[in-house]
Amino acid sequence: MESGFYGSSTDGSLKCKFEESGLANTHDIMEKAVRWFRSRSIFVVAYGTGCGAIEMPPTFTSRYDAERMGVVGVATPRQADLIILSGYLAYKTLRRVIRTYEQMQKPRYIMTLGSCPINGGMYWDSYNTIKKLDDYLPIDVSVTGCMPRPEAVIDGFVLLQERIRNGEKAGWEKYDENFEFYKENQKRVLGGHIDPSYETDWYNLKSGGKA
Amino acid sequence: MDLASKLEKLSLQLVQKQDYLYSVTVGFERLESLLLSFLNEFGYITLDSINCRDDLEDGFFTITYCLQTKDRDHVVMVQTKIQRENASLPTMHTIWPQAEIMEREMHEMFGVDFPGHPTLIDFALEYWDNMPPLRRDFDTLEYVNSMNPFREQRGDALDAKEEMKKKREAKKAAKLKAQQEAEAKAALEAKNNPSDEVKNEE
Amino acid sequence: MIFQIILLIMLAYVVGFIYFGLYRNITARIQGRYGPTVYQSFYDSIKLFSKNNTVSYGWMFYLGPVIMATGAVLTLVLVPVFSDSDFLRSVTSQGNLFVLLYLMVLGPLGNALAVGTGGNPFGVMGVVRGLTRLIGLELPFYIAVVGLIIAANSSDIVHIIDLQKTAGLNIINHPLLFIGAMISMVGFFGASPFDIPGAPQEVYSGPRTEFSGKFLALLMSQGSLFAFAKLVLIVDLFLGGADSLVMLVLKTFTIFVAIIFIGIVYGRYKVEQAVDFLMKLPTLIAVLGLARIVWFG
Ligand code: SF4
Repeated sequence: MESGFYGSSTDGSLKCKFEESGLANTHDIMEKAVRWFRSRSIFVVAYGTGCGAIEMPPTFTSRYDAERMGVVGVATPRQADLIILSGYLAYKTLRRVIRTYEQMQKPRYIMTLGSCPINGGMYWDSYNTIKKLDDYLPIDVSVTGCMPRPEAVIDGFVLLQERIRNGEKAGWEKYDENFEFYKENQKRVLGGHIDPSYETDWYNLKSGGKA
Repeated sequence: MDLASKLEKLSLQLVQKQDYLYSVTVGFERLESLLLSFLNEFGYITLDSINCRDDLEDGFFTITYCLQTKDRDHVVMVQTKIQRENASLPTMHTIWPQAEIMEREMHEMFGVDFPGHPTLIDFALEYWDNMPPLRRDFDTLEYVNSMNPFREQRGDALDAKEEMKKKREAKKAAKLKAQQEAEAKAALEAKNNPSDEVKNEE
Repeated sequence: MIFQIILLIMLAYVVGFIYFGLYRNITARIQGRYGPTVYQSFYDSIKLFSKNNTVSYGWMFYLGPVIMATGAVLTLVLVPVFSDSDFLRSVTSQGNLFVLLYLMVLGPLGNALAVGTGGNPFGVMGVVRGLTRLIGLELPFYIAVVGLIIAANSSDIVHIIDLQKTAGLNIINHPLLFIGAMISMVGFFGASPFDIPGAPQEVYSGPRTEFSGKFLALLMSQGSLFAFAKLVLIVDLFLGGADSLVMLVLKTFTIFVAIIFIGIVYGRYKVEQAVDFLMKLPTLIAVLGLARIVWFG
């Protein structure tokens, strides 16, 4: 796995270099600083699944203003650090979410809103939604409630910032370590069609899809 | 009503369900011609929806076409029954273009076939290879439990029904107690200063 | 001299990022929010520099941000920052206005090349919009610059600054040219109403859609460097330059706040509308100013 500028705390090669030159302390300080900056600047891609998307606008606009903590919405997963999944996920959505998550650059985090991603919520007996999201993707923060108010969402941001600052093991590291486990679960429930096919011709669906 | 007499000539009966809602039941063989005459002769230009009801016990699907005139002041439901096994319906997308997507959904959810339909592909579900999920012989609970098992409980979980019952009873008791106390207080006060009324009279 | 250049870049980096922090903060205050801190843009750029980068579309994709940064740094170095000192004078006397005008378009072209290799439809859409808008933006600005060159009888920025000491500031002598140049400056800063290339509701981040991590940080840094360079250029041309750091910050900040306020008040033009507007009103104002110089001196 490619490691970036102090990108991965599991990769010790850089630390070794510092230690050789007697600068282990410097490395620690640098890493701490980088973690602090990461916690102060979180770019969010808000993936509005389910009912919870309605709580996103007040969180990010004048009333609750998440920007004062450095939490800003961005438009593309390429630039984002955090993806917010705000509610139940149908199988169809899960495919897109996995694709979006894997497009994000490390370090990346997931935050879920509501009880549906935790245990199915009121969609527990639906034939088309998943019950435990943490089987398929690593979750960093779950904000409970149906639906959590923006105060609770902001509380979730604060918790995430604390975790980043303390250097706790983040979800993306777990995802890399237990990649087989996650892929197996995804395959089980999505029937092997994990991504929407790249070749799908969305404008002439007549020939595509399953009849 | 005008329509009723017209339908009577076709030996069909118009039933009023609500003040804006009428229904007419027709055999499967005459469905297509009746829908055509609704469009061309009676002026019902809009197809609102096509609905399907699964009558599992009797072994048929009840299909309902909801139609409106351009005045939009009432709805006529044209109902027909088709066999559950190998169900198939004539496609209406050549007459009403919006029927294409409705039929596509019905094909996915109930497995009704529409010969001649151009796009009978996935609608809302992707890569679904089980029984169509809205048929009543599809056991949703079993399917859900096999696909998505429950999360193991933490152990400290309580039975929600019991807890709510307890809570409600406690609430009721508290309410009763408060009421009694209030009554007792009022009685006490009335006993302590009976002079109020006397003073007023003076 | 190398030392001076590095010093200048660091100065521009700090001032530019603080200005962008202020931009976000003032916008927030006007919208009735608390807003991020002034240093928020620093945090963002340091975080982005520390991110992994796994997306690649070949070397042209990497080169795009570098070309943009080159354009920004060259512009910065060639604009005289302080009017009365020897600071970088040996370099700035080499360049003149024509070179600067050329360098200002270098960035968008480099960006277009990189985004083209990325192949993201939204990026391509944003670049096309940006280049179309550039046609409109350049017209009033170039006319204003030509007017100043005729008035000063020289295309040397140092000469233009020196002239303002005796003949009075250009903003008072040629107000029409200033208005024309300012309106197109609003567009060069990507503020509303000319912010169509990166409109997040329509084309995601426009040209930046496919850039992530370090490239995004590079784009952001060059953006703030370039913004500072453009502010200094306006100050040099119309406000008589600055002889000390305090004056420099004061003057650039005034211009910057004016641009922010214009940007917050207005909604967004479509591409056609933007070009249409820029080719009519600001161009007309600038042409009137030019005519005044040509016929009345
Ligand atoms: S937790 Fe509640 S609000 Fe959120 S998606 Fe589920 S049902 Fe909707």
